[in-house]
Amino acid sequence: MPSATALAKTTWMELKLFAREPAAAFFTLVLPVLLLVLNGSTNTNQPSAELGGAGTIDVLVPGYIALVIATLGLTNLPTVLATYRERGVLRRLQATPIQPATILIAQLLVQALVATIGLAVLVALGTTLFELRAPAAPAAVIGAYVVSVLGFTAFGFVLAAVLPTARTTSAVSFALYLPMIFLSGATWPREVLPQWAQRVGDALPLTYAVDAIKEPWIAGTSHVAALGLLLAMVVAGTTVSSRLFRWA
Amino acid sequence: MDPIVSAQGLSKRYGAVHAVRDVSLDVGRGEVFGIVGPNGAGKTTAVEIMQGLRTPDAGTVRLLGLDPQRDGVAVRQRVGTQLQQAVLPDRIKVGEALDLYASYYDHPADSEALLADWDLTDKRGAAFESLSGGQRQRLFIALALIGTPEIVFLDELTTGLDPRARRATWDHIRAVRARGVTVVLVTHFMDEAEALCDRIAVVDGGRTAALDTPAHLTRRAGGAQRVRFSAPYGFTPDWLSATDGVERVGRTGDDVVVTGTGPLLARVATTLAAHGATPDDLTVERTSLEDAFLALTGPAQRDR
Repeated sequence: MPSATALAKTTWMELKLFAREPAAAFFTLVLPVLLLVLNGSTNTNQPSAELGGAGTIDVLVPGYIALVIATLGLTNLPTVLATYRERGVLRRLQATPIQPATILIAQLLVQALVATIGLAVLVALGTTLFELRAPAAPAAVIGAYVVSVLGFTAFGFVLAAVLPTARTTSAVSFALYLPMIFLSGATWPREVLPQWAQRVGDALPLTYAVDAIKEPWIAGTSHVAALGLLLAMVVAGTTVSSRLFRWA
Repeated sequence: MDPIVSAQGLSKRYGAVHAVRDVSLDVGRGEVFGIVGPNGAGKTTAVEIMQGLRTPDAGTVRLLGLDPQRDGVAVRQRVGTQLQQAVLPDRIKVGEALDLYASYYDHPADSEALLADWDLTDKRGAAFESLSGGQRQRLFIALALIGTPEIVFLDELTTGLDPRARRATWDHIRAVRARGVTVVLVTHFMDEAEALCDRIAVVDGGRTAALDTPAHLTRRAGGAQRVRFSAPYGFTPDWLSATDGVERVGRTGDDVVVTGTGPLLARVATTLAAHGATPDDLTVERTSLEDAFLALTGPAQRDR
């Protein structure tokens, strides 16, 4: 079946192209690992009453996993797609038998694969070097992780579909990304932020990805409201971006 | 035989710009068919409509007997293309691009053989961004052929190439045709159209202004010929103007230019010899396809 081969080949090619962009790989994977190493070297993972019995590392790692997902979905994906469209890479693909869905699913798979590499590295380093505790409810953590990847990929597809040029796409993406990673608990716990900043964080989708991954990890319960919001992002984002997909 | 491409009354408007007004043409199987016209004439839009990449406001297209809009995937399995405004990702390698595109087709060609055919074997591991203009064009032709198409559309293939690379590309196009592939060639170079094409559609102001073989188009542009020879200043004798078939005698620089019809060269030579004038650089200039093109297109031919 040619379309399965086409999907596999396209995914593999896009993964290789991602690996050939050092800046993208740095922001996506190295930054969260650096944050973990710096914070892990200055903090112990002693259980703390303030953090509900969890240690600092236990609280930070789910946030860093969400950080990887946000970097991929908000900065990487829209920039890649907008550049492909602006330069005519998509126009050339339009003249082949490949379907738009194949291109988009390949991008989703790249997001999922790179995010999983990030997750694996963070968990491996956290466990071996900084006494990261295993998730209380691993299946729920994985479920929340998958929904978060899908939600932010859909967000990225919408940005790529809605914004007119590659330049505006990267500008808007970064304008959304920067406040989001600092106010959502993805880089440090929201509890250290002033009240107003926590209020702003309540309106940011990344906050819900952090919460959805963190709660089952630490407390063993699912954050139903956060999961609901992320699922809504998946449905809305997929609907909007598939309607608005443009080859050129 | 049914035409492999049939376009009737194509029209496409972008806001205030009426890019294509009325383009109609049929391409026969096995032809090299040229679409020529000035910049902005609507050539690219017209061929993109024919391939189903853009939707026309009016008109119909049959490509391989199918509707490229409705049967898009089936059509694109059998059509190869090189687009004017299209690239590959900077860091994709030549071999990777061919393998990737091969996976999109039901009957892919052998990518190793294509690399060899288009002199890219040495460049298999080179990134797209590192290729020269000529190498990119060869890669685009190879990609156009990767699905073993029955027809290929080549849009401004040689624009931006140096003369040697252009001539090499012409040989490549002849090689494509020799495989039995129909070629639709969009160009604004008249020498290219004349050298390669069996038939030519002249598109101007969004319309098909003429459609014929290069020889017929040239002939139709006017039967007038020019005979040219060098002569001292002031040499415009009455007996030359009075010669049969001569319409006009003029000068450009050191040369006398005699315009007329019929066996002009023989008559002018005979008259000159009879008056004791025997210039050693007597030449006849035929109307070129470029003259025909200029006669068929341009502001006077447009109504916008």
